Amino acid sequence: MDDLDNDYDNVPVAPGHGEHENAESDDEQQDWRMLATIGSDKKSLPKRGEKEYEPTGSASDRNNVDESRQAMYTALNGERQHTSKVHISGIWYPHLRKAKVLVARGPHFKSIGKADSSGTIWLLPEEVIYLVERGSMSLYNARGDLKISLQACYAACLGACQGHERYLVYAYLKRLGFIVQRATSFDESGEEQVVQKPDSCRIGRLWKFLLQKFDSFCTGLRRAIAKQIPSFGPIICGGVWRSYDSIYRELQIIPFYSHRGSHVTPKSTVAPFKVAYNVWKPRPSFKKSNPGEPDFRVVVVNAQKDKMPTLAQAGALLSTLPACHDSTSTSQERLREGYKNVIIGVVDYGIISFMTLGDVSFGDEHIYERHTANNRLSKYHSTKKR
Amino acid sequence: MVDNDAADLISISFIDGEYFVFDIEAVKRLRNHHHVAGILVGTLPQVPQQSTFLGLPVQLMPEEAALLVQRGVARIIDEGSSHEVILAVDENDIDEATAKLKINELESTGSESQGQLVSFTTPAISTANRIALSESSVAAVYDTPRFDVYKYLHKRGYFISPGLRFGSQFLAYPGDPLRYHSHYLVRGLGYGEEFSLLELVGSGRLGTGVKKAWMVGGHVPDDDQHKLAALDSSKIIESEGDESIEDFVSFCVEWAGFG
Repeated sequence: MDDLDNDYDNVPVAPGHGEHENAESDDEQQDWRMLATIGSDKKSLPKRGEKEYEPTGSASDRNNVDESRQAMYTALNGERQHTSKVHISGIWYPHLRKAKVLVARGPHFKSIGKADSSGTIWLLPEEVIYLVERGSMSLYNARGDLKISLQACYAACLGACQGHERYLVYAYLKRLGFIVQRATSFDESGEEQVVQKPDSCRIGRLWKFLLQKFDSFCTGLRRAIAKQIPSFGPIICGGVWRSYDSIYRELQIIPFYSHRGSHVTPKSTVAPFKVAYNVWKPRPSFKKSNPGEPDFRVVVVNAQKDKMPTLAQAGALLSTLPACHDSTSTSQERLREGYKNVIIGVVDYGIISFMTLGDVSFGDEHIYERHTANNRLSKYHSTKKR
Repeated sequence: MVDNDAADLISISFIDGEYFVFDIEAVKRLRNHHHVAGILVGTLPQVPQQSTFLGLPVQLMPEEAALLVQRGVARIIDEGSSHEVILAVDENDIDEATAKLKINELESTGSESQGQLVSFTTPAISTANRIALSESSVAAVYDTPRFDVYKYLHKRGYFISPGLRFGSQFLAYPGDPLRYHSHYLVRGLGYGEEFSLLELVGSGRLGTGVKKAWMVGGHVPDDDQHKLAALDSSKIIESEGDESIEDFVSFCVEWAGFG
């Protein structure tokens, strides 16, 4: 019977399971004394320091706290500055909720900003805060008589970012090197533009349609036969089965959700459950004018104000997304990532947590088909005879 | 409020519904003297391509801002109206050419010599006039279970941070979070508020699983305080200033794992 026991080995691994999950490591803050180590070699991240269980009141304990704090304060006191080689300057126009770029040096504009017909580059409020905060940009008021501080920059721009939590997610992804742009559904009124992948061809669609009809005809036929089965009788009867596949398929009597064949018309989504940002993995060939399909789509919600999306909200959100898999994807990939998926960034007063919401139809994945070897039936027979 | 008091108050910036601290001196004072750490939410300019070490500003929870104002330590500054004078623009009167000239002037003063690389610096805080909001701007959280439990723990010297990482309202640290692990996943409730046993089991197990405990507590209404004191003589209300300590009950749940 070993082959039957082995079935468990082939059950797809649930997402997240098996990855290194150390709850403690996600917790809490870093030892700022370690920051000094990245000054010389900027490529390696500092190691995390050891933390204690609780204060003991000893002198060395207090010393450690003081040292850590001092390291942090020194780092926080560092100036936001850049050299003329990579100088960016701009004017914030509150009535336009955008900044006009005057000088645009350095690499940022490969993925940031938008040029108008006259060639002037404009920055969105989150782009302005991000650049000012990291010391890459000098921002001025409309009269040009004052350099805007970080504080004033927040006061001016944050209100136009559609919530601080959205800015936090934007900046977090930018720091990690992702390319982030507002989705068309960013604004309350904006509608998500659905990017439909072109269907292979018309005949393909027709063929698909016919297959579906045939499939539903067969199901109907089976149901008709099933009506003959007494309520106390076997679950299925009256057939000839030559493989386990057909038996398993016949045993699939519980109706299940399937996205197959159903053409979804995009429903309208309501904030916060709309895509806020499109995200691309960093790539040198990226073009702002022709970014291509985003690698990820991110929704931002507030942990204090928003609830889990209802089925209707989640359905509407997913209906606006294109399918993320082609026919070459494996069953495991489809189960892990779903037919469509979207990333939800949850923000609780400055702390961000990401999760993926996927549209997965488990019933469509016939996991029993994957490892059906020809000899299975005969093997089973031989064990049964014992 | 007396005027010379105001200079000594910590300024908390209120922008778009959130509370921030931009001044490094204020950050130090909050951390060293009031054990309020907040969360760093800005990019650290020295090492901008990582999120392990973040920079200014510090974001505060509404409970933190409210407590600091209630204690008379801080005031809330409406940054929008404080900066209105310098940021405001008359749409019909935009003179970009003049603005550009002025900016050039501002930027050229920084350059010492022609051959050297010029560096441009952005300050953290403005010198704008501060327009403070009254205490009523933070009063909305005063009578919430969240604020009650926050106050209770803060009074006992705990550092308190948002609880998202462990799915609770707050995390409570016995000392500065820079050096110590948190002890409690905190949930504040109304005194008579019911909660499901599943929450108790789920949170209790989660807390124990991450070497912490789940703490649940609520503010005892005045009527019930005497009953409580009668039940347990150790719970006699001690007066400390104008606030009493033992008007709050709390329980910790740890999963013992017997058997």
